[in-house]
Amino acid sequence: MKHKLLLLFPLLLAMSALAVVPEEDVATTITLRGHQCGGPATDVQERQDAEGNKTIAALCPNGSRYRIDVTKDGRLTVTPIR
Amino acid sequence: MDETVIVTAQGERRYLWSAGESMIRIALLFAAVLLSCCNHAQKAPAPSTAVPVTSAPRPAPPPVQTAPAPQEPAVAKTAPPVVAPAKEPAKGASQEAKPVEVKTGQEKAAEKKPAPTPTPAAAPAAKEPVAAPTPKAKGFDLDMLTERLKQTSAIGVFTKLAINSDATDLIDAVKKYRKLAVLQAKHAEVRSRFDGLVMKILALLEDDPELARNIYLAREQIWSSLLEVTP
Repeated sequence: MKHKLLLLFPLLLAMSALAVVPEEDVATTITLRGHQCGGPATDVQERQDAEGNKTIAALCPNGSRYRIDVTKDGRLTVTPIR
Repeated sequence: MDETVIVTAQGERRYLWSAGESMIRIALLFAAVLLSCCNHAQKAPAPSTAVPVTSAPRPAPPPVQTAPAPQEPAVAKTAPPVVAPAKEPAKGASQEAKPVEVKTGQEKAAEKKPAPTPTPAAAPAAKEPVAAPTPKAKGFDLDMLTERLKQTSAIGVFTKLAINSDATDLIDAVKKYRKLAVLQAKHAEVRSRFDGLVMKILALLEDDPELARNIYLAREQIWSSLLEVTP
């Protein structure tokens, strides 16, 4: 059993490596909404209010800062922060 | 065996049976070559398996849009039989021709002659991929594709939410246009938005090519189902 788990561990690591990194995910979302980011975002801060709405603040490599709002019903908007 | 051996005056032993057998082999080879020539000229016996094959793809192009599913398997099934009969005479000829080395030239000719026969069948097969997407898309399941899109690890969570928002916006737009009875007028606009969304999804699914392919093949069905959205 231990051996099987040990064998599974690298596989799980590899699978997690294949998954999209949150910084890349945020940058892709910003780009999809027509804004420039210039690479994976940094300084990603996620907050959730009592109603279930989520707010993500992120800094792009090009210096732009964006706010991503996700409502509780799944609507997503990207707003540049000046 | 004893009757077939002749001992010459110089003491050489010659086998009459080998000459007779070689004659039979030569006769068989000639028969095979003649048969293959006849097949090639008339296209009748070899196409006995291939006639339904070649005839099936020819009528295929017109009804491609109406009944593509039965045509696709027909071509898939027919393609191997076309090659199979071509190989059989070649194998038979090569097996018989091995002992008689003189006939290798004819054997090569016999092998070369059947080779062109697959080409007419290969031509429709090459054209078929154009119609291939439709049968693939026939097994279209929007719920399954949606579920796979949700489950794929090629796209991040926020990106999925962004796509979902875009899709919801598009559906809302269709509903709104239908309510205002301007859907026909806005058809091109809605279609371009739909195409843009599909392109976005396909670009994002770089790490999940199978899902991307399935979505691409089902895009017309997705478009139809989008237009069928009830207000």
